[in-house]
Amino acid sequence: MKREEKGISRRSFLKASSAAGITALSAIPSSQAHAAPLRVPGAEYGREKKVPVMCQMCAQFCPANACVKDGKVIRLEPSPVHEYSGTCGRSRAAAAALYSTDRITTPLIRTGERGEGKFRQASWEEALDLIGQKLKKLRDDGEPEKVILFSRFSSAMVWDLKFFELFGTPNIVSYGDTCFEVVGRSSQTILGFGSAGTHSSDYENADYGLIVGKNLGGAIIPHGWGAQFGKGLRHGLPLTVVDPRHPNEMAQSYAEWLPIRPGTDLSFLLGVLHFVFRKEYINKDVLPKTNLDALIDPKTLLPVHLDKAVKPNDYLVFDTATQSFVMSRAAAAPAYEGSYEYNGVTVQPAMALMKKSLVDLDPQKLSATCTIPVSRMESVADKLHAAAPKAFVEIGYRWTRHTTDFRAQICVHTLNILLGLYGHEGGVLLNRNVHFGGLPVEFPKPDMSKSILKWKIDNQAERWLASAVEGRAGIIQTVLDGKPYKPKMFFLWGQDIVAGTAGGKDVTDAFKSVESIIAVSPFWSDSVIYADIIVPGCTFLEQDQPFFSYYKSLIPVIGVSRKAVEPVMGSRDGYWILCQIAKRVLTGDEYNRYFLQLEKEGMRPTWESQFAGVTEHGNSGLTPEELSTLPRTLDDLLEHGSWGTRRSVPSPIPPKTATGKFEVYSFELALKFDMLGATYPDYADRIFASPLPVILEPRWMLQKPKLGDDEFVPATGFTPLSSFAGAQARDNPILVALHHRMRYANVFINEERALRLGLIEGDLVEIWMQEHPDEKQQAVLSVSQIIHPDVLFSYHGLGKGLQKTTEKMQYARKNGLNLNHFGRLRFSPGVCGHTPQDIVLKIRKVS
Amino acid sequence: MNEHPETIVAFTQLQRSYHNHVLHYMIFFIITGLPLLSTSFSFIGSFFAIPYDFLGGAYPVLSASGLTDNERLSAGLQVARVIHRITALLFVVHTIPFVVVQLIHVRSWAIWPEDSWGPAALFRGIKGLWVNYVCFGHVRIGKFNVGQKLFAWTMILAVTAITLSGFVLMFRDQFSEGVQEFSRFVHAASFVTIGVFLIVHLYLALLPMNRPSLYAMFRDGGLPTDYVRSHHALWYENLTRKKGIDPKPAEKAEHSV
Amino acid sequence: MRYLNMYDSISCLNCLACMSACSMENRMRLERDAGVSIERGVNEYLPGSYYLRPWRREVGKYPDSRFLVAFEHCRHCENAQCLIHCPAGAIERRPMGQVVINPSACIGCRTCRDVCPFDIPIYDNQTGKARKCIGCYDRVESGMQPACVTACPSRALISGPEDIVLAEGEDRIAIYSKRLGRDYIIYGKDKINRVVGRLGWVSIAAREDAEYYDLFARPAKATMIARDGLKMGGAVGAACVVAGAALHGLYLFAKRKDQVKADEHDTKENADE
Repeated sequence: MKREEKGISRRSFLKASSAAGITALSAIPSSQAHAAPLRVPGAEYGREKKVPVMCQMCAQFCPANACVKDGKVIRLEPSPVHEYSGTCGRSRAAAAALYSTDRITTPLIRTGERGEGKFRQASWEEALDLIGQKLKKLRDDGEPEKVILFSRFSSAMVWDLKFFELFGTPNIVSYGDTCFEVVGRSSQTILGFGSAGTHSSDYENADYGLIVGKNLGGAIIPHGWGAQFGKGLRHGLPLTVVDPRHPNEMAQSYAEWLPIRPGTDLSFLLGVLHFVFRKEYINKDVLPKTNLDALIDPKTLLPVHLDKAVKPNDYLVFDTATQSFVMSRAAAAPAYEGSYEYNGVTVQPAMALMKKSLVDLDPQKLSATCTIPVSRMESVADKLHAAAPKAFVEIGYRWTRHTTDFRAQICVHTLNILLGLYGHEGGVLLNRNVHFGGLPVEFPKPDMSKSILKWKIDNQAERWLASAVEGRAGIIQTVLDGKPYKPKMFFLWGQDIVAGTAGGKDVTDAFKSVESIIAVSPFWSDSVIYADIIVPGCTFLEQDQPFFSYYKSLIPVIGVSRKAVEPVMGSRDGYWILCQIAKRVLTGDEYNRYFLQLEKEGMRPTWESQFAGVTEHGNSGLTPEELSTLPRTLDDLLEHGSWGTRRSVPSPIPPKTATGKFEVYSFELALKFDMLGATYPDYADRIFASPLPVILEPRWMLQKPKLGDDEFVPATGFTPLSSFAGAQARDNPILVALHHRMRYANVFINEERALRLGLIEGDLVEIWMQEHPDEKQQAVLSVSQIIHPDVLFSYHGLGKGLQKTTEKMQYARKNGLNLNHFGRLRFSPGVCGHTPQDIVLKIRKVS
Repeated sequence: MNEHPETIVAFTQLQRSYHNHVLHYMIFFIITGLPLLSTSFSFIGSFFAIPYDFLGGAYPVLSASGLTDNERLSAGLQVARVIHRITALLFVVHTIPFVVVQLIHVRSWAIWPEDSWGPAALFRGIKGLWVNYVCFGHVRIGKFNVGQKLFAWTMILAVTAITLSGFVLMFRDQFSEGVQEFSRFVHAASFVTIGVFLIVHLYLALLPMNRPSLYAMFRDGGLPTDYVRSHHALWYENLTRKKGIDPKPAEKAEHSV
Repeated sequence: MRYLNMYDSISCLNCLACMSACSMENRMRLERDAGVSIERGVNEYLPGSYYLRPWRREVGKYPDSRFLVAFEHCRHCENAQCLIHCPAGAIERRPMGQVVINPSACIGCRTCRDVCPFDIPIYDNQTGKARKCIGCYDRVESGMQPACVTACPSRALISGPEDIVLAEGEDRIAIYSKRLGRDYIIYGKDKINRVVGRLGWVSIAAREDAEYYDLFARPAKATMIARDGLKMGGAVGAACVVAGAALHGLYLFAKRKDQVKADEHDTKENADE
């Protein structure tokens, strides 16, 4: 009998009504036929060769073991490094990516238009010669900086960056502005350090957790976070999750779900902060670690006196013990309240200003914006307070969707610090990494003076908090406006800018106008299809790779990745490709000095120098006790596979800001706020730099305060079985069959809205932005009870969007959304992260 | 039309042909269906595997290592299923013209009630069965007694049910799972009905007292007129009334009620 | 000692790693047992290779709604109805309790599917046979754990000897009951009903959520159990009818003898006259 999707299955009703008679009849015995026992096949279980690899089906590098039999990968398993080890469903299906018949099997040279997908086969010689020629010319012409390297899922990890630095380009651009940069920058602003994956919440020891805008089960990072979170769930961790969609991956069983309007997390968090301040939930012991005693001029929002000459920087406070103005380190009992006259100006401690701005907020207005009831905001504050310090507000790592995200993330840090949750067991803890030695060859430091992103930071108002590295969307903008200069080459080594950057036609226009595009990739992608020359580097299973340690895990780990099988399907080792290019571009001397050893000896020298850095140089990040458990020699480590230790006792986390304090009142922001007012008086988004809490609405809401019947705000999540738009998952038949069962490639709207539009489950719909009615995407609709009524939800990375890439993918869904293909470049103020979801979409049935 | 017929047509050629073919179909249906209904009849399944076993078991031609008991039974069951479905096809093909012709003459079916309906008439009919089969007396009945009529209607319903459910089971994927599972139940229920009723039918058909009817079905379809007049008085009267058959002077009934 | 699997719906992340691992392991088995190379096996959908399947289920009405994923998997029942009813005797119970369909003996009649209260065996159109979870008996009998258990990153799937697994389950539900304030059950630990008995794969869920996860209070296929009743009824009915016919036959024969005697007597009398 068919299961029914909604509610309890019909079958159980039938059962209930016929139960008595049935159980009586079931007493009737039936004879059992005689089944002959199966012979257990000679399984050779436990006797396959196991090769340590770091899984790269997504970007997290979870330690795994590849089981190899007769030279073929037959299984990937997690490497049991420590108690939080694990791999996910994508990893389990890696063999399907490895042996995919859709892989690129020869070098290709474009014959049609960019993005059309027409290529001809070429020999390795021809392709590498052409690539070398183009690079060499740019270098010889004195324009190496016009080459942009986009490296991420690279088959020549670490060495590729060095080559291009040596080559002479400062434009080695990462993707953080389309991913984690908001979280990174907010951490840096308040804590003085941090990036993606710096923190883990202590799920297994917490008594309560608040998770806003993140889904620990969704994209799943199983090694570390996933397993840590799983342990928390096994401890019955009470949770409140705030999400436009009920996040079943985190919360199928019991978590309190607060549906929220997209982009309004700031309003919700301000509401929680309002109650935290109003009800005096602040942990007084934490205050001395913050800079909330700094005296601030309420008119300028600047600290009255900030001494940047001393290290750490110091600032003026009012010492209630001596009733005088002193620098903070000299104060016995600094004031956190009150007003004081200093040189004719009325000044207040930062705490007082912050308190006033939060307590003065009207929770009803906040509630109206985010659609979460005031009572829930208060109850969350109460729960955090009751459970403190064994509580956390999840920091997570990816929150780059709306203009307001940075401000919301600041609230997260503020809550964690002021409630005393930071650096405690059961609260928010620091992840630990191992620091390796460098490469066996010392490369010269690159000249950053011509860095595009640096120029943009120095010259463009809106880039007041942007990164000099995490800025691929910024590069796209530069291609289009030519400022400071137009790049001439995109070198793609494992980034998919077209699928992953919110910019639609702006991105594809940039890709069409750059002089040349080179791609090294085993798989097709929305970006690779725009390349002029493609060479198939191999996957992680087919080559040795350097050690890696930047895991989202409380326990330090050394990730080991070795070649499990020879390169298949015509691909080549990425380091071989790099050396071949280097040979054609560098001078003979340069090549011999920097790359000859790599070519001749492979990865071993790299491993040796990395390992020496851990064992000999004294700043590995490991304690002596932990070091003593490390395999003693390099060969021992290579034999052992990935290595980890045990969980250590959490220690308090010192801030690394210039003042040495948690800058809950960020001086960096205060200075930026001031600078913007002085330098760019026409800049409209100055308020985003305010060091005080401010209510801000996402851009979509300012454009469309009231949604029409056929208008929706998009929200996306990740599926646990896909990896951005990567073909290794999107075009993987093992995974696609499960995608289909879960409707991952569909779009979801609330049933009530569907009824009003006359739409039903399974309808094919068209979706577009009002501003760009010619750019329509198609998707199959699902009707749902677990989506906020304003929202059109889709999982990111499985939809065709507007590109032709799926023509090269036999299993990938031939419709479905990619939000990044809508609209034009759209940045958030300051960090300049992209804002893919900060738009309004219209929907209509196709057939 | 014969004015003074020696015999009266009891069963037409179509009816006889159909009945006698169905008899054979039933045999095949039953022996190929029983091992799928219950593992108590697995021995029949193994029987069907004899040729396969010969080639693959004792004298391995198909299988180098010989067959396990399970593989033997499995092969036999698959043979049985094929025979069951071929029989089903033949049965359906044969049934269609029969049903069409019968339906054309539906008003003159002899299995409708006689002049009276209702519980009282039913009770009278059942009492008549007792008189006939236990007391060996004569009863005033039409062509069929109430038992035979009920048997016929039951058979019509059961055979229809088994055919429709069989069709579902043969083309399973075209139907929802609920329909599939219900069809298995109906198929079994109608088979049990048919099976039990068939035992009764066979017994009564072979009884010496019913010999003339047996000959009617298996020979030329005719019953002696005298026999009809004495054993199926109502039928005889209807025939003479309708068809103007001149009754011979009534001979003394051998056995009077 | 029975070998049990246990699924904990509370710590499950719906990551479907178990399902991916299961399908992949079956493709490896295709190479090992059926000579289908792994390169070919991973380039096809092979719907029959998914012994574990997700079933999306939304519960309640917005905003008091939830999305959960019910887990379709073989329960390896103590009274496995599939095993009992298979006409080909193609289903066996392994020494540690796994219920396994022998593909070389399966005739594809789908009785196992019809009779399974949880609708688990699937008919694989490509092979013409029914397939279902084999409890990775080949792995377990080689000293490993089932593929799905090793795949789960949040330890929502565990397996091992019965007493150890159930003890872990009791520990977990004690914690859940205490911290989450609801009643939790280990479904399948005790006999559920006469139809399935206990289960070889038990599940932890909140009692009030059990039906959403297909942890039925009274698992049974009504039509198929009624069919069993029919078989019994048919046997009884046939026996009665045969007995009845025999009695009537004897009675008839005896009566006939009297009749013949009476006729002979009449004839004699007539002849005498």
